[in-house]
This record gives sequence, C-alpha cells and structure tokens, in this order.
Amino acid sequence: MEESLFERMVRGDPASFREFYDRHAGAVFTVCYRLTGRREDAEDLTQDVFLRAWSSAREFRGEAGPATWLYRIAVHRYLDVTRRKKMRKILSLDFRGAPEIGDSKSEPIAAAREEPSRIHERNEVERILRRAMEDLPERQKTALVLQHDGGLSVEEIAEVLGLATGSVESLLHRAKKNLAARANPLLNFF
Amino acid sequence: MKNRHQRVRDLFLLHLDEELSGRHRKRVERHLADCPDCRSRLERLREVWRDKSGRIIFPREAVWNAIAERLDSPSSLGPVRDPAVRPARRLAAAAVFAVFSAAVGAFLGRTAEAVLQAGQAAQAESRLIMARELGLDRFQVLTDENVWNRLERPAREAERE
Repeated sequence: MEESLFERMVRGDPASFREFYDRHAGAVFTVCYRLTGRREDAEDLTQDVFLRAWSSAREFRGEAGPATWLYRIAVHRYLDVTRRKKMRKILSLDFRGAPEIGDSKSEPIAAAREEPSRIHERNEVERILRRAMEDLPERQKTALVLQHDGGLSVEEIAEVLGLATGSVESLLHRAKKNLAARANPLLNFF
Repeated sequence: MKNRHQRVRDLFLLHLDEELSGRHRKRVERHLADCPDCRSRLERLREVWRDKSGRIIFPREAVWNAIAERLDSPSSLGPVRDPAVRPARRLAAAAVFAVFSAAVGAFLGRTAEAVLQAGQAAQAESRLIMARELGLDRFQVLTDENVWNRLERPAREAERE
C-alpha cells in the first residue's frame, strides 16, 4: 500500500524510497522529458523531483495521489527553471533557439512488423507534433503534457497547476487547437 | 487567410479527443465525408496521437544512482537538503536583508538629519529675529548678557523710576 510506503519513507527508510522510485520514475520521467524536450534536462529534473519528494515526504497529506503530488513538484520546478532560463537569456541576450527534441534514443519505436516507410512516417508525424508542442505557451504545453503523457484527468491537472477545472479545460482546448494549427502545415504526407 | 481545409485540420486534435462541441463536430464530419485528403491526414494523425497516450519512457539507471548518492551523504539524513540551493538562498536572503537594512538606515538617518537641520534653522531664525529686536548685529553673539542689557535692564530701571 502507498500509505505504508510513505510511512516507511518518512522514517527515512531508503529501501522504501527505492520502491517508490521504481513505481513512479517512468511516469515522472516521461512528463519531465515531454516538458523539457531533452533527455539530460529530464534526468536532472527527475532527480530533483525525487530528492524533493524524499525531503518533503512528511508534508504529503494524501489529498491527491502520489503521482499527482510528484507531477506538481516536477511542474513547479520546470516552470521555475524555465523562468530563470528566460531571465538569463534576456540578461545575456543569448538567443540560441529552442532545445533540440530529436533525441533518437527516446523517439517512438514502431512495431517491427510495420513497413520501414510506415515507421518513418509515424516517427516523422510524432517529431513534428513534439516540435510544435515545444513552441506552445508554457502553461498550454504543461497542461497538454500532463493530460497526454501523464494521463491525468482535468481535475488532477487543475490540482497540479492550482487552477479551476474550467480554466484547465480552456487551456487544453487552446493547446490542442494551437498545436494542430502549428503542426498541420508541416505534416506533408509523402 | 486559412482555407476551409486548414480550418477543419486545426480542429483535428480536439476531434480525436472528442472535445468538439456539436456544431464544430458536425462541421468536421461533413467536411471529412467530402474530402479524402483530410480524411487520410486525420487517420495518420490518429495513429500517432492515440498511440502516444500512456506511453512511458523510463530513465536510465544513472538517475537512481545519482539520487542514491545524495541519499548517502550525511546532509541528506532525514529530510534531504539541497546543498546547491540552500546556501545560495541563505546568501541571497542575507544580501536582501543587508540592502533593506541599509536603505532603512539611510532613510532614517536622512530623516533625523533633516529634523535636526530644520530645528537648527528654526532656532537660528528665532535668534535672528530676537537679535534684530535688540538692535544687535546679526553676527554678534546673542548672550544672556545682551538680552539683559537691552531688554531686562531698561525695563527694571523704568519700574524703579
């Protein structure tokens, strides 16, 4: 049970923390990767999220599920880091452009039985969608990643972002419309 | 200006997630019925968009190793402290406090100085008025003796007479 796992974590039992990590690392890393667009950044963020979870396990009230709690830590850290990066960019006038997201290691692996051209096409569609997602406003992107990659409900996203459910619905609606509008001109189906 | 195909394609993701209102859904469906190109695009998008949902990527073992290393450090017993962040935060807080204190100090110092200066000016002004009344030169020192000789003595002598 998650509760007893937490009790053991609060007592400072590293084995329970490893179990907690194994249970949630994939979900947290997926969301971190989709938010940052870079494997290295996602790994740093994942590490940060779990260290903070360990340090603040005592503060976990159990109102939301552990995954929602971890996503909330991840999103707040991500938005915090993004704000600081943007500030540094403004201060240093360093405009190097968006981070690359074409990390082949994490690109989709289609079923081996599919034709290579079909696999290539699917990968290309996904790459275009991901790139277009990168350009969305931060809050739209965050809400969309939490729903699409984190599998969170509107209520859970509202909990993570500290917004009303109506605002999240509106954010998701705008995100999907914007994403389709940005991706469609690039989707040339060979 | 977007053409009708582009306007419908902008709604594809909302259509796939069944989040379109009745009016928009009907518009998309009507268009798809007549447009094989948009239909084909939607199907290919559907494969990727639906397939993406719930797909999990796992971090490398190095991520756990880095976490475990931090857990083993003495500073992380009990609640983990972030050594990279905490001292920087403390320094930043101390710097903010110092700047704030200096600002308040400077403000209060200036205020006190201004009050003192105002008091001194008022005192000097009253002394100047009194000196004028006594017929003294403005640079002559205004002493109790001057006041006595010029004001009190004539008044006492007049009383005696």
